[in-house]
Amino acid sequence: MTAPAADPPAPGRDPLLRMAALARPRGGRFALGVLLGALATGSGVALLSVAAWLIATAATHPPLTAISLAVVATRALGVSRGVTRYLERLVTHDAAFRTLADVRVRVYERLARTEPVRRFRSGDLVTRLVSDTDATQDLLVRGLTPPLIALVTGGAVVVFGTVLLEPGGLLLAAGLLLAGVAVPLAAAAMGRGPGRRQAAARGELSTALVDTLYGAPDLVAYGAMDRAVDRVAAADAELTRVARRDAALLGFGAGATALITGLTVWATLLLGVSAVEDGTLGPIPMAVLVLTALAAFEIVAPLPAVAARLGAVRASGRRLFDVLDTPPAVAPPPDGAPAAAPEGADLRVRGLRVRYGPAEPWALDGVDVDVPAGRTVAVLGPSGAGKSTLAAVLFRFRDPDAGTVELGGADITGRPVDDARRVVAGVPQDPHVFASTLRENLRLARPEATDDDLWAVLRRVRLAGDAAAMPQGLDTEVGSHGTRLSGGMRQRLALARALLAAPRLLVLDEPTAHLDPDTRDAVVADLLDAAEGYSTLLITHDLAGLDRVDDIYVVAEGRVVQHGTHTALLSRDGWYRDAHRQP
Amino acid sequence: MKPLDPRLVRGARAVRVHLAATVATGTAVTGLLLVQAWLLAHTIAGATEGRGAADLARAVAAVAAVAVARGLLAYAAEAAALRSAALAKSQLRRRLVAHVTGAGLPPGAGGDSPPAPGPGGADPVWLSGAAGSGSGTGTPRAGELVTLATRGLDALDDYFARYLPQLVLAVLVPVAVLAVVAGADLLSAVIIAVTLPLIPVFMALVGMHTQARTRRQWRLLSRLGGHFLDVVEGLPTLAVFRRAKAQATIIRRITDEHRRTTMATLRVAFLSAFVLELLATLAVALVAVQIGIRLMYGMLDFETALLVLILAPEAYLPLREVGARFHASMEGVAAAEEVFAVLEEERGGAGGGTAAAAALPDGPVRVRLEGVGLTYPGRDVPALSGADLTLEPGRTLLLTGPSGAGKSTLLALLLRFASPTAGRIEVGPADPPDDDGGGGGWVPLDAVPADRWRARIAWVPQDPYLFDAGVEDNIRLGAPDAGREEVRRAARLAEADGFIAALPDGYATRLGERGARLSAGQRQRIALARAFLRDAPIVLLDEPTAHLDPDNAAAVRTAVLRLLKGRCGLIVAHDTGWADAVDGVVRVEPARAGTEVPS
Repeated sequence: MTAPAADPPAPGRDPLLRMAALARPRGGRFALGVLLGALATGSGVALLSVAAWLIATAATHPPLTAISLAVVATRALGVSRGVTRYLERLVTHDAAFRTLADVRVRVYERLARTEPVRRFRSGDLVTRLVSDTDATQDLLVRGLTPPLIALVTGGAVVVFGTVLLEPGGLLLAAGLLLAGVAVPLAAAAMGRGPGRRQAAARGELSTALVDTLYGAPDLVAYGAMDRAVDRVAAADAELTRVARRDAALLGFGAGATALITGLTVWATLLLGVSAVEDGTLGPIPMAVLVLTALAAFEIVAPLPAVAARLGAVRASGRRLFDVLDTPPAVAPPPDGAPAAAPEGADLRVRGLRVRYGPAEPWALDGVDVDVPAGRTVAVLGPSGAGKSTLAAVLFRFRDPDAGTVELGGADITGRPVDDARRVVAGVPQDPHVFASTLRENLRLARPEATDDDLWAVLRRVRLAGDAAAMPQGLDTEVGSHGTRLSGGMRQRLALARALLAAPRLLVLDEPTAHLDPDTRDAVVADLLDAAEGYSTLLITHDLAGLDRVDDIYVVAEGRVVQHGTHTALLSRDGWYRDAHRQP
Repeated sequence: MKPLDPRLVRGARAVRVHLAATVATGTAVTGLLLVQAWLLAHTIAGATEGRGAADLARAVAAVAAVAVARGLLAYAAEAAALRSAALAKSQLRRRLVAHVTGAGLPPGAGGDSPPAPGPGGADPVWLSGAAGSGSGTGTPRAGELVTLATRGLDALDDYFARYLPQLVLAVLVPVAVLAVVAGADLLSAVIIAVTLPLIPVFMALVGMHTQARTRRQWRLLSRLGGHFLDVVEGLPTLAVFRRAKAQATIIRRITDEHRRTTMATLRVAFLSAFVLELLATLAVALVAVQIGIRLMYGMLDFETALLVLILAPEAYLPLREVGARFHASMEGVAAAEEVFAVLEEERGGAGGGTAAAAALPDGPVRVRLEGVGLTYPGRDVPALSGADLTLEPGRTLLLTGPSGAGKSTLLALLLRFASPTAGRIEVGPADPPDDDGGGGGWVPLDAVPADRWRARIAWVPQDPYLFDAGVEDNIRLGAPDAGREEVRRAARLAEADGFIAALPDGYATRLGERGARLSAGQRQRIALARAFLRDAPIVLLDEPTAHLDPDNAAAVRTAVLRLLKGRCGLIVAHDTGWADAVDGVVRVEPARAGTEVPS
């Protein structure tokens, strides 16, 4: 079951409202949570009101039966408040977690349809997106239910006060609105200026610190550390100065709340005393009214914290909906998709052009590449030459703007993405190793694979020895991002996965990117051995293993600048021969 | 984790001042609270007895005065707390930076900097063990330290402004309320006195149980919690293998599993708040019922009963507030504790050299390594062992060997980032004085002050660190007073003038964070320009052309050969492509002696 993709993108709407709308499927649970919360807060206020009535009545020395109901009510309220508060917290947290599951699935499904590579290349962005998603939970538990609870109980208290003495109810309403709405909003607004100023000063400090700590070896070697530390001290002094000056603004909320609470109690007292003197109010209701006013401000106590955090949650929501509103980079295929799957395994790329936006330069500008069936072809070039864009098109992460990509004579770019990926597999740049076991990481590519299949493919990529030596063999946990494996092992694992998928074309995107020179040659040699028999496209920026490939394309600035075999290119003037001459 | 870390109080004067101010404010708040309760009880009872508004006017006016005073006090306390927090954070931050960089810092904004380590003291903590990791730049801890010094310490705001004042009130108010209630009605005082201590006891019991339970579930929770991030990061890989769609179901399943596990933990964790709330309200209800019944039988007067009823909830309120603010403010305390942990770390012993500052004449020097090795503390395998070589003026050596053999470690030793744990490094003048008695003027490297020694070295690391400043300032790193013309000359010698001139603002262009504007080869040439400007007799180069494309590699090679001319050089490189450009090759093997072979 998946969350209904209910509301259409409405970029103009407040992200807070859109985030709250995500909770709509769980509305019942949240309503129950608000009800329980209102009972809890209400019990607290009612306890003092009932107790005031109890004592004021007892002071008139009535028979015991006159107060016995109040005695029972007081005791019951003494218990109900704790119980309902406990239940409220459980119910709202549970509802928020359920909503989180909906939102995560929704974000994920959207990401899976959007181009998954270019936009989220930076690990920081991914981490932030995930925490923005999780911010919905925070909004629901701490941002949405407390105001609703305050609204319900506040309304009830005002009605109660009005019943006792009409102006008393109005006074309570005014006091609660001021302390619960006006002051928190004003305090949050006043906090924005200091927040901005301090963020700027903190940014300076952070930059100075980053330079000083990350650049420490260079600074020490060049005797410049003292100057760097002076810069940190100056930035720190500025931040401290700004923060101390702004403290005067930030104290407003606390002071105003205390003042309004005290003055409301005072005004109620003044009103009550006069009303008793006038005879419009009995002494017992007067005691109840004043003590209710004293207890009522507990209702609005959580609201300043809510107002203060809304800004951060809104920013999270804005970033989240930015992602959710992004149109997919791969167009859905036209109805009645092409008929038969291609038979051959020869890749033919013609006139391929791709750019990442109408105003951006061409990342690929008319590229032709051929990989004959069963052969290995390399695409070589410096970073930024457009090599990874080629891989993105082959993996169907992106639609090309022009040109054709034919495998076995059929164009794969018009086909549904998963159809294309059935025949093209490989190792994307920075292949992800999941925080799971070796077996699960492999079976990702073919869930029905037996252990024999897995060992066979591990032998093929020369990982079987290492895998057998691991404490639990295939059941060994590889750690988050595969940190328990070496860089070479991760590449071998990624290729093993690709081979398990049994594609017709293997694309290896920068398999040596994060390997040190010692292991690079061995890894490339083993990868090419393992890929023997497949049509293989090796995309790389370094020269390791190029003497073994059948054909080489040198790409620069989105175009093929040289093409030929290793020996042919070495015998010619040009980029390739220059590259080999370097130490 | 303690609610009040004594190191925090001892370490920063701002904290002591703040604590005193908080206690004073807390006392005043407690007093006002008692006065307000008495005034309310007095007025209500008076009005009930039929006294008119005019008769009670002074008491009613006093209630308004108390309200204004409480408002002012709350404002002043919050503002003062935030000011103290800013100061205390600054003081902690400065101590942290001084400690990890080994530099002295000018006094803090509050004029109360703790004794900063003097120059020439022990070497900073970040260096020990860091330079042996292949690339010499940066440490894995640097990022953590930056976060700790900024966002981590900011969590102390909550601690100072919200938690500490409540902690003070949580001690003062119950005691004061109890004293007043005891004076008014002993039986009510007994109920409060019995229930109050139960709260911390029960909370501690529940807390201990929760902690044990949470710890048991922690691994499961963090695994489930990290799953979504893992899947989103691995999306391209999942897409390639057509597993992207299937994962949506798994995400829901795992998130639901996470919810169930978390809820199981929360059911217990919320018990602590439940106990607190239940005891507090139940006690108030008991007090109310009990005074009501005694009032009915005339054993108590109305005003006293009202006073007790108004005060009873106040005894529990600060405890609840402290409980509610405990977790948020403990983040700040945790950050402060981390700072103290860093401050207490032993500094590496690599510095030295001030004790018997040996005289090393100016001019060209020789460096001799005999059986030099380094084993980092806590590791079994030496990072470098048995290295023998001699650096001579005008001669360049190439240091090769497989990764892990200790090539970069050897450079770190020469830069005095660490001290050898075996063998010795000695330096001597290129032309030993005649009256030396044949000793050659050799002195141990340790005996030379580290900063004076480093002034003789120009180092080009494998991944040079560029600062988010102008090109010119980046080149001036080792010679801050160099003139514009000198900088340009250095850049020309480093083959960097061409691309710098092509930048939008030429030499004034800001390079962005870590020199993001430039390619690896261009960054390398900026580092070479630094070395030219430094004009030092010894040049150390770490993998100068690794990972560079041909055009950049050629330019860097030209500049390197120019830089080495007439100096004493040492190139660390993986491949032997530099062999024809040097005067000798030294090969180091992991944990084996290196020997010089003629090239």
